[in-house]
Amino acid sequence: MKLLKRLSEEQRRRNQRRLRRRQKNAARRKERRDHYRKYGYKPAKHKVRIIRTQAPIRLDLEAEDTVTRRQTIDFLRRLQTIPNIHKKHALFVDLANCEFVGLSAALVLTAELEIAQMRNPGMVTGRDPIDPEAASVFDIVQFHRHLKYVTIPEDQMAKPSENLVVKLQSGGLQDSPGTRLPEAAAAISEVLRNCPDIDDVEANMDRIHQALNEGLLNVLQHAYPDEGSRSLRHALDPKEKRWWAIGIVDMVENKLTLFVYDRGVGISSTLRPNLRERLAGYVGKDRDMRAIKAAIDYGRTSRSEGDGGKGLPQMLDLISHFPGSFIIVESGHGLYVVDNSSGENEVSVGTSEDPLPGTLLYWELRLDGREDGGD
Amino acid sequence: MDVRTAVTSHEVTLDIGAEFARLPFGRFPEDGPNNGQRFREEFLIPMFEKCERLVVILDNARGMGSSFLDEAFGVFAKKCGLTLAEFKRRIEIISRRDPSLSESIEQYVLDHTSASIN
Repeated sequence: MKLLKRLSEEQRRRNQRRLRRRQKNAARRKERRDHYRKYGYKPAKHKVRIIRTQAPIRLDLEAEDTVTRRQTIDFLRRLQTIPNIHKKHALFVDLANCEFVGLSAALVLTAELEIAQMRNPGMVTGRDPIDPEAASVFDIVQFHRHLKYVTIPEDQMAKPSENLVVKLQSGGLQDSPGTRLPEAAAAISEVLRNCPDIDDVEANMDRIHQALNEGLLNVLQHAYPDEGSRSLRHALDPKEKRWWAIGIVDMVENKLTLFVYDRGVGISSTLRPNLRERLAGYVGKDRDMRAIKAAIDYGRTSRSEGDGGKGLPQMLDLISHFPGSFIIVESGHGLYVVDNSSGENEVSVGTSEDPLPGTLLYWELRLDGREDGGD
Repeated sequence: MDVRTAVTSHEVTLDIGAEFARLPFGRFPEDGPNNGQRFREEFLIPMFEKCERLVVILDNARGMGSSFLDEAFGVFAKKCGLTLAEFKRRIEIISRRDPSLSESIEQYVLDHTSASIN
C-alpha cells in the first residue's frame, strides 16, 4: 500500500510538471501570435515558400506587337493574383532579364507591387533589371523610394537623369480625397515651372492642373464603386482603392509626360444607364472601346442625373493648347487616342486582346509647340 | 436717380481663391469640402441676391476644372432662371491668367439654360 501511494505522488508531481510545461508553451505561442498580429505577419504552420515570378524581356504597354503587350499584361495580372492566393508565401519579382521597360508599364508595376505589399507586408522582394537603361526607368518613377525598398540615405540614392524633373503622387480614397487629390494635381503641374521658356507658364500650369483634377475626380467618383465590381476577382479592401499620378518634364526633349492610373472597374462599368443600354449589343473588347467613346462623345456619366460628364472632354482638350501632343485613354480592352501631331486633333479608337487592369490616362505634351516635320 | 450710379454702388466682388478656397475641387459634398455645390449655395447665390452686379475673380484659385465651374455657374444660372444675356449683365468673370475660363463658364451657362428651355 505504501509503494502505491508513493507512485501516485510521483505520478501527481509528473502530471503537474507536464501541466506547467503545457501552460508555459501555450503562453509562448499566444505571445508569438500577438506579436505577429501586431506587426502584420501571419504565423506559418509550415515553412514559408517563395513564389518567384519572372518579368518578360520587354515590359511595354504601348508595344505595337501583341506578343510583348500580352506578356506585359500577363505579368501584371500575375502580380495581382499571386499575393491573394498564396497569402502565407513570399513573392519574389525577378526583373533581372528586363531589357526594356516602358514608363506606363513601370508605373502600373509600381502600383501592383504597392498593393501586393499592402496585402502581405514584408513578403514582397525582388531583383532589379541588370540592363542600366531599363533600371533607369524605375529611377524615373521613383520605384524604390515609393515602395520603400531603399536602405541607403536619400542623398546617396541614384537620381534620374538631370534633364528630367519628376513628381510622383499616390494615395488612397480613404485619405481625405477632397483635399489630397487637388493638392497632388497642383504639385504635379508645378513641374512645368522648370521650363521658364514656355509661353504663359502660369496659364499652362493651370490647364494641366485642371486636366489632372478632372482625371483624379473621375477616379474618386467612378473607379471604385461601393457595390463591388464584375472585373475584380475578390472584394476590394478599402485600403486598395488607390490612385497614382506622375508628371515628368524632359528639358532636353521639351516634353511633359503625365499619367493617371487606377486599378478600378473601368469606364464601361460606370456609364449612365441609357448609354449602357445603347451598348447592350456589344460585348468584350468592342464594348470597352465603345464605352470610352460614348463617355467622351455623349459627355454623360452614371453618377449625376442631368449634369456632368465634361471631365473627359476637358482632359482631351488639354492637347489643343500644346500642338504636337497626344493623349491615350486606355480602359479594359478599349483604347482611345487623340493625336495632335499634325496640328489637328486626330481621333483613333481601337481594342486590345489583353485588357489593362484598370484605367490609364497618358498625356505626352510637346512644350516647344513643334508639330511633326515642323521647327 | 442715375441708374448707372445705382448699379455701380451695388457692385460686390467675390474672390474665389481668397474667400472660398485656393484649390476648389469637384461638384458635390462627397467630392470634398471645396466643391461647386457649396460655393454656389453658400457664396454665389447669397452674394448675387444682395447686389445688382457681382464681380467674380478666378485668378487666385487654381485648377478649377469643368466639374467645379459647371456645378458652380452653370447650375446656378439654371436654378436662378437666368439667360446667358442676364448672366453676363449681372455677373462679370475676371480671369486674367487664363481668359478661356470665362468663355468656358459662358458655355456651361448656355448648356444649362438652353437645356432647361428644351
